[in-house]
Amino acid sequence: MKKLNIVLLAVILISLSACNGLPIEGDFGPTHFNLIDQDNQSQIFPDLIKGKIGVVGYIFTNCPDICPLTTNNMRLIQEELKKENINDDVEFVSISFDPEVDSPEVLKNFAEIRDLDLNNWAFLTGEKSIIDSLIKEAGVIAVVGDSSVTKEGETIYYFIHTDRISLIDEEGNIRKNYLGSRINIKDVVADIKKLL
Amino acid sequence: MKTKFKFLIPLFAVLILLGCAKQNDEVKQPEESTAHMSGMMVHNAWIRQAAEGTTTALFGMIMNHTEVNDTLIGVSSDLAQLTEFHETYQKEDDMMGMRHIEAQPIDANSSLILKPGSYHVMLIRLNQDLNVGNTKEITFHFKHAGDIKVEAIVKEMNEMGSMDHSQH
Ligand SMILES: [Cu+2]
Repeated sequence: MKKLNIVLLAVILISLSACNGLPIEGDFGPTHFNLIDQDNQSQIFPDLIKGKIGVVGYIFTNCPDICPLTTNNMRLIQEELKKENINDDVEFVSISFDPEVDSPEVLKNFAEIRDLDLNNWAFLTGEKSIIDSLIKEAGVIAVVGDSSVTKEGETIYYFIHTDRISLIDEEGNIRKNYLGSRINIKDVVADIKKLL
Repeated sequence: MKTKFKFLIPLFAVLILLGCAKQNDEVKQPEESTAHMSGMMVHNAWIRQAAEGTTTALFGMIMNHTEVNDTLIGVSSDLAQLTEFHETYQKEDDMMGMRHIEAQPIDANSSLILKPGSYHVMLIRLNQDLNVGNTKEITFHFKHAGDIKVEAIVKEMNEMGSMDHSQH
């Protein structure tokens, strides 16, 4: 019985640490990814986050449903951080996994129509091979599923993709992954505070 | 005394594990009073704001207040190059995809909720900016009820689920 109690106490302690702590779940490997932001400026990921906490979302702009929810959740996190005066310690990054469609201009329009505050938020696109290796490191899967053909004969592809926002620490480690479209804003803000 | 509370340890462990478990985020839909309605209708239609050239979605509730089982066979609008009825679906734990639905049954005296993360009308390649507050018309085509014109308001919701309450 005593042994059993010790085992159970261990379970409790492990459970508690898993609840409160944010263990390192991964990183982006040794690679520095050369990308372009919505203003056509080159950016190196994850270096642009270094020294700050990163909130990183993965999107494609032809996505009418999940990706706007993810983007909106990032906006809500940013608003909450402003209220708490810690917004300057955090960098937001939205990475397109559909770079053939999502040019810097498309990403800029996507951000502008939503009136997003881009002071600490970058929308990144780039060469497909670079994007592909980046999302692979992030554990994000994006595969073409259904498509629609417009009157002008253009085929629009819809991705089946991981619904994700990642929390990145100051060293570029992935500390937590959330379901991007179904996130609890307060939980993320609490996790960000733990890393500050 | 000591043995009496031993059973609390496993209980505590279970409670903690439950606390760590993923939250179930199913959104409960409010029930609408339907006493004053009749026929086929699309209620609380709204479109998520989006820029010209991009793709967005329309949400709302299709209500069949008739005694006839009906089918939604299409949607049309002049807002976009293509207008289609779609469903967002979950694949495995954290993968999301989307598919075109050609015919969606709407049974007699039943309703279908169009909401983020679920059924929606896709507006593909918008020919104009859709800004918050704009009102736009789109047409639903039913097998029996025929064409139903719907006015939809453009908005951006604050949180998933909250838009259901903001419209009453
Ligand atoms: Cu769709």
